[in-house]
Order: sequence, then C-alpha cells, then structure tokens
Amino acid sequence: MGKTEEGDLLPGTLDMLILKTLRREPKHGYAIAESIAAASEEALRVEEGALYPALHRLELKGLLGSEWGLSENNRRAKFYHLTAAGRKALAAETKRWTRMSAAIARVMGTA
Amino acid sequence: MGFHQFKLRWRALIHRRQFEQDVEDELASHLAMRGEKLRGEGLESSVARAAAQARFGNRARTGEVLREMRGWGWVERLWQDVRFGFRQLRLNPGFAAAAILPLALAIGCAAAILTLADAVLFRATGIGDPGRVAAVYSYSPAQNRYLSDSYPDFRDVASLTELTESTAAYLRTGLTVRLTAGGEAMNTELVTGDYFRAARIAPVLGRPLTPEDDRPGAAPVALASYTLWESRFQRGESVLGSVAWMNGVPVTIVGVMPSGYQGMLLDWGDTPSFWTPLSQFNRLFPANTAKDYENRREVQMLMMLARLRPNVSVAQFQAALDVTASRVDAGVTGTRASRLLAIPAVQARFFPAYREATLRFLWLLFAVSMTAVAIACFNLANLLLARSAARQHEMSTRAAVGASRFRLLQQLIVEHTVLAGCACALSVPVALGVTEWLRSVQFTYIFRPVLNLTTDGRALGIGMAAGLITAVLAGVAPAIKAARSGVASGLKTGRASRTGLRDLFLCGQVACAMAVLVSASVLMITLREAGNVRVGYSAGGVLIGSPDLASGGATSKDEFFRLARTLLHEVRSESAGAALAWLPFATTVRTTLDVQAQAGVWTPLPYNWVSDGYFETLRIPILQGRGLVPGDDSRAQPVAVVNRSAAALLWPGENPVGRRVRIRQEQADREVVGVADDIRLNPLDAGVAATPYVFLPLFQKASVSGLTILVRTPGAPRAFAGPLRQITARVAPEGALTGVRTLEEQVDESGRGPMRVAAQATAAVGGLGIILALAGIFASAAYRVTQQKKEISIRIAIGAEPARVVWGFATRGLWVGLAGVCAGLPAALWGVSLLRSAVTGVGAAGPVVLGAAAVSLVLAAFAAALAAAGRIVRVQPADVLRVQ
Repeated sequence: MGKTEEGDLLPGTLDMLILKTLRREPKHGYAIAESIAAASEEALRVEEGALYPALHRLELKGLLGSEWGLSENNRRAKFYHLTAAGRKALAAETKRWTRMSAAIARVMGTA
Repeated sequence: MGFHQFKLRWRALIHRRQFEQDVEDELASHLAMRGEKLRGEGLESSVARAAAQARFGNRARTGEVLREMRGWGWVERLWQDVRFGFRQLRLNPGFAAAAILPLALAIGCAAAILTLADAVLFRATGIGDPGRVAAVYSYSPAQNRYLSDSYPDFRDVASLTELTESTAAYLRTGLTVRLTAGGEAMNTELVTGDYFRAARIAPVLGRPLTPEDDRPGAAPVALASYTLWESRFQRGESVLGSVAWMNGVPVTIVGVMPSGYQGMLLDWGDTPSFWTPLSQFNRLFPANTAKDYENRREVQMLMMLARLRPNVSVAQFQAALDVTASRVDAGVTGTRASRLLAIPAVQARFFPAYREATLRFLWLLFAVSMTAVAIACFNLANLLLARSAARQHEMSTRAAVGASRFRLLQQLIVEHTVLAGCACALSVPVALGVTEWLRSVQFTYIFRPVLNLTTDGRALGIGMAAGLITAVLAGVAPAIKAARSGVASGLKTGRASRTGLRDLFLCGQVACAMAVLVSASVLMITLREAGNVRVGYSAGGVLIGSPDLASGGATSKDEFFRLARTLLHEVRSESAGAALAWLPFATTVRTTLDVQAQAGVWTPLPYNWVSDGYFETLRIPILQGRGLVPGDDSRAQPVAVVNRSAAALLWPGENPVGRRVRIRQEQADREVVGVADDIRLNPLDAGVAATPYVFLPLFQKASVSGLTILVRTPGAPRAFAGPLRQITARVAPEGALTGVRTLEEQVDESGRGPMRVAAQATAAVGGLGIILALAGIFASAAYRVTQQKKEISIRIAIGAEPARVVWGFATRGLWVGLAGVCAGLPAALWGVSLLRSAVTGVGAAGPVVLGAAAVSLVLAAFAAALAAAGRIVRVQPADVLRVQ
C-alpha cells in the first residue's frame, strides 16, 4: 500500500486517488504519481513502486482501461483511463469518502 | 474470476513475452521520467538515477507482483512442475525406463484381466432391461446338476402370467446353411414367439419374430445376425426377403439383429448367425427323433427366460415355480425329476454350474496381475528413494533459496504422477497385446465362452486409474522423505540418509517374488507330472472332426447311418484306421444314462455311442471279450462294452462278459461283450480314481445326432485335414465338416489350458519380480558402497582385510533376502491355496518346493549384494583419500 511521508494512507484510498486523478484525461503511471503529489501539495507522496500493483489491480477489475502511447518526451508509456465502471466506482467512492470524512471531522471537532 | 479478468490473464498467457516486455517497459519508463525530472532539478545523472530508484522502491519485486497478478496461480505452478517432471525423465533415461517399464507391464496386464472379467461377467449381452429377466434352468438335486428344460416345462412356466410379462424358450444348434453356393455350418437359435418381447430386442432392420410365426403352417422366416448382414449383404436392404437354405429348407430373412447381439448365453458354441422359430424344428431336422418334443418331458433341450412383471422379485417367481413343478401334468409323457430354478439373467450369462469355477479362475488371474502391480510399485518406491538420496543436494539448495517443504513435496508428487502417467500411457499397448493373447486362450476346461474381447475403455480406464493411484501412493513415502531432508543435512556433507525404508521395500519385493515363485513352481511340477501320466490311449497321430450328415443329404435314420458307414469306409481306405463317435473324445460334457445290472438298482454312468474300430483307432486295450464290430447294428443283438472301472462297480470280482444290462428307456437288455481298459480323459486327474464308462454301438442308436470322426492318420495328423474334407464333401455334399483338429489339441485344451495360462502368467510375473528384486538389492548395495567409499578406504588403509569389508556389506543383502522370504511364506501358501481352488488338479506346495524357493531367493539376494560389494576390492584407498 502507499505511504505518506507521515504515515500510512487509509486502506483503499490509493485506489480512490488514482480514479480521481484519471477523471479528466488518460495518464501514464508517472503522471499519476506526480499529480497525486502535486494535488496534495506534496503531502501525499506515494511510494511509486506501490502505484503499479494498484493500477494493474484496477485494470483487472475493469475500472481502468489502458493503451500504449508516447509520453511527452517520446517514451513508450502505458496510458490508463477510466472505464464506465471506473466512473461509477469513483462516484460511489467519492460519496462514501465525503460521508466518512465529514463523520470523522465531526468526531474530531467535538472531541 | 470475471470474464474481463479471464480475458486479460489469458492474453498475458498467450502473449507471454509481450506481456513481460510491457511490464519491464512500464516500470523503466517511469524510472526514466523520474530521473529526467530530478536531473532537471539539477542533480547529477548518476545521483538522479539512484534517487529515482530509491523513490520507486524494489523494482524487481514490483515486476514480480505484476506478473503474478496476471498469472494462473497453482495451475501455472502445476504446469511448471509437470514440465520439470518430464525434463527429469528425459535427463535420466535409465531411471525412467527402470521405473516405467515394469509398471507399464503390470498395469497393462491388470487392465487386460479386467477386460476379460468384464467380458465374462458384466458386459451387457444386449437384452433390454436385463434386471427384470430371469433365466430358468432345470436342476437335479440328486445329481447336483443343472440341466436344460423341456417344452412341457416351458408351457408350465409360460402359464405363470400373473408374475411374468412374457416367457420364451430357445435352443441353439448347428445346421448347414446355403446362402448363395455351398453349405456352411452355422449356429442358429430356434426361439419361441415371445423371445423378442421377453428379451426386449429390437431388430435394426425388418421385423422381429412374433407368436404369429409359431402358427402351424406359417412360412419359415429368420432374422440374420448383424455380423452376417455385414459380411454377406454389405449391410444392404436386399437382405430382407432373401432366402437362406437351412438344412435344405428355404427360409426367408425378415430382419437383422442389433449389432453385437450374440444371444443370452456366452458358452453355447459359436455365436448364432440366425434366429428362427422353434416351430420349424421338425422341418429343419426331419431325421431327429425328438420330433414330439412338445409333449415329452425327458427331451430337455431348451433354455428359458422370463420377463417378470414390475415389483415381482426372482424369489417370488421361484416360489411360484416350486408350486408349478409339483403339479401333475396331463397328456404329457415322462415326469419332471428336476426342480425349476430361476436365476437373474445378469448372473446367467453362462451355464450356472460354471460360475463359481469361473469366478475363482478370474480371481486367480487378477491376483497374479495385482502381484505384478505390487512388485512394480515396490520397485518404483525403491528407485524413487534411491533417487531422492541422489537429489538431496538439489532439494537442499532449493529449500535454502526459499522453497517451502510443502512446495518441494508438491513438486515431487507431481513428478511421480508424471512418471506413473507415462507408465499408464505405455500400458495401453501392453493391455491390447495381453487381451489379444487372452483371446487366443481357450478356457474350455471351465467352459468355453465366445467372448466379445474387444478393447474395453471402461476396464482399461479402471485398470489405469488404479495403477496410477497405486504408483502415486508408492511415491508418497519417498517424496516425504526427500522433502523432509532439511536444508542443513544435504548441503553440509551430502551424506546418505539411512536406507531402512529402502530395505523395507526390497523385502516387499522379495516377498512378492517368493509368493509367485512358489505358485509357478507348483504349477510347473503339476504340468510335468501330468505329462508322465499313463493315460491308457494314444492321442498322437489322430485327427478329429465333426461331419454334418443330417444336413448332408440324410432324410431318415437309415439314410444317416448308411452315409456314416460310407464315410467310414472311404476314410479308412485312405488312412490307418477310423471310427465314429457320438460325443467328441475328451469333453467336459458328462452325459450319463441309467444302467441296471441288478434288478431295481439303477446306476448313472457316463457313456458314449461309438462305432466299430473305436478302440483300435485310439489303441485302447480290450482286456476281456471283444470290442465292437461292424455287425453290431440295429438288426443284431444289442450289446455293450464297459470299461474296467464300470465292470468293477457293477459286478465286483466277477467276469462281466456275457452279463446283461438294461439301459433306462430301452426295451431290451444288452449283453456285455467286452471290457476295455480304463483311460484318463484328463491327465490332471491322475490322483482321482478312473471314471466308470459304458460304450454302446453307434449303429444301435435309436436316433441320429451329431457325430465325431476320429482318424488315425498315415502321416502328420494335420496333413490329413484336406483329404478328410474332400471325402466328407464327396459323401455328404451339403454337409459341412467342422471342428477339425488333432486329438492332442482337443485333449490339451479341455485339460491343461487354464493351468497353462496360470503357469505362464505366474511364471512371467515371478520372473519379473525376481529380476526387479535382485536388481534392487544389487543397486542398493552398490549405492551404499559408493556412499561409504571414504570410510571403506580408511578401513582398508589402516589394515582391514578387504574380504571382511565385502562380507560386511553383503550380509545386508542376506538379511533383506531372509526377511523377504519369511514375509513371503504366508503369501506363498495363500497363493497356492488360491491356485488350487481356481484350477483343478494343482498339487500342494510341499516343504521341498517352499524350501527350494526360499533358499534360492536368499542365495540370489546374497549374491546380488555380494556382486555389488565386490567393487570394494577395486577401491584404491590412496585414490579416494587423495581426492578428499
């Protein structure tokens, strides 16, 4: 599983982050790692090797599709995109996450 | 696993190389891009590369995880193990051959024996829903014999309609059939109208026979067998309406039987070629005296089957038969002395009297083949153990690099299964070969079934599955042992583990070999003794055959006997002597008739109707009075010749010549004119008292019937087969001559056939077992010598006598041999008792046989070990120690 610099990601969050990152356009693995890091302002820095098993797992589940293309600097790279099932899963995950983080925030706020 | 996932994994499997390249590329491009970024941030290129690596983590491990995600898990591992197993076999062809060949032989034999058992006992005879069919036999409690039924019996049973749906009777008999040109002897079943309904047989073409065909005056019709249809009519429709001339009667073919149907009984001569109504009996056999069989209880020539109503058990049917049997019959001659016995059709595939003996014989063959499998498995286990010792280094290395003990075990078991699988595959041709051989063996001594001994997938499958399982089980102990030999022990010194388990397997092999060796010896001794028995007649130089005079032109009894005399005369003019007889010479059919020598005392005695020249042709000495002469015919005084035992039985201590006997159902007494010497029909009956026997003149017989001609040939008996055929064809143009063979063959087949099969089978298995056991003992000792070379060298170097060291090693073989022989002793005794119960005439295993077998096995084991240990002498201590 991925790791932050401070500690572990919550289980299953890496999958969600990957799906979220791919919402707008297909990306290759490196770009996904970069955008997760950038979007979280470097707070979430995934151990990059761990990203690939997650990508392949999502692909086997049918949430991601992939094709080979050329990266910005002309390297052979595998681009992942969301499938219809992936979009549905992202929506469900987002809803669940919102509910859960709100609940956690409430708990933390009142404590 | 969903379809999508399956598709992706399948693609990775099919384009394996591409997939692996993709994984590499994907990870490499990531690292390259990260490196470029870091260089862009001002890091030196080597430092950037290292930093990228560090940020990525374990690249090789990630690649492995990705590959495994698309992998096939245990299936893939299994496939790897299987391929590894095959590679191992290819790399060690000697080991592969030594392990696989004996196993293939043994499994093949077992499968062939199962095929035989299946054909004899289980294979469907072709009647529909056989579970509800009962066969009905007459059983004579007084003689403890099964008999055929009479037509009045059939009428009685057919009246039990509240219990049966239909009842049928049938009779299988040979007759001469002319299809296009030339008469041929063929078997035909004469059946009553309900036969097809009772047996539930649907013709593949045309119509079945019905009760309509039994009406008086109905045109003669018949159904042809599938085989005949195939060979003579090329399976064409033209068969319907064709005419077959049966014994000169034109019979119209109206249908074809289903493929493979050979009648309900396997042992009533050859498979029938035709099925025709019983009501045609008198037309087909005009000269037969059983004409009014329909009203005569003593004419017992039919077999019967009854299809029971649903919910009627065979026991209920039997109860009804018992009541019927005691009913008084009106308008029917004779009385029923026997009881009607119902037997489930599935158990009545052959004459019930033979069932037990047959089961025992099959069981014997099965036991022999199972012993072969056991020997091959011991051999396999032994070889695997030896190899596991040799492969200890490999196992230890694999365990050291992380293979779990379970994984090693798994791989070893797969390897053994591959090995056993190869043996199974190789056993198929063996099974086919042995089945072919069994087909050529006549089991006449028990009975003579016409078996559909085609290769049988079911029996072959069962045999191979059993062999596979046994072989894999035999590999379990060695595998566990190999997998358990820990990392440390194997890598440190490569020292051999103790060979206790191997010695145990060797003992097992010796024990099996002992059991089979003793059985084979007992059989050999019995067969040799049988060869020395004085049989009292001369079978050498005699040819026999069965001419069909009834179909060959004889229309009456007188004509039949006239033809018989002509035939005899013609044959005698070209040979050194000839005679005719009713029964073939040596036969297991023991027909008896009741003979009365003193008023009121009827003695059942076996008998035969024979012509003049019979005793001369067979060279049976006449002890008193005379033999039979040409003048002993229906116009002369009725006479009889008895053998010595019959004379002693009927007139103890008196001269029988001139005495009078009465044969039951004959009107006049017969005068005893001579006493012939006893003969032994079966040389294996040497220990049994000779059978009393009565000879009656053939030409005084009241009815005509089958005939056997016995010819003492001028040259080699076989060479006279052609002339005999020509003479028969000249005398009786329409009649066929069948069953031509030498008398020696006939005697041999009816007496020694099964014993020879048993002897050959046990001797072959015994030989295999002994060779494998000795090879195992040799290899084991040789292996220990190799393992302990260093130790031996030191001992010899510091002054030990080489001979003493050799002796020390060889005694191990001696102990293995002794232990094996002790374990084999009860097995041998059991084997011989099985043999004696299965094959009549087999002698007991005396102490001499047991002792000789034991001593020779122990000595052989010792010699094998000694031969291997003898290498010690060649060990040059200096060489060995220098290497160390």
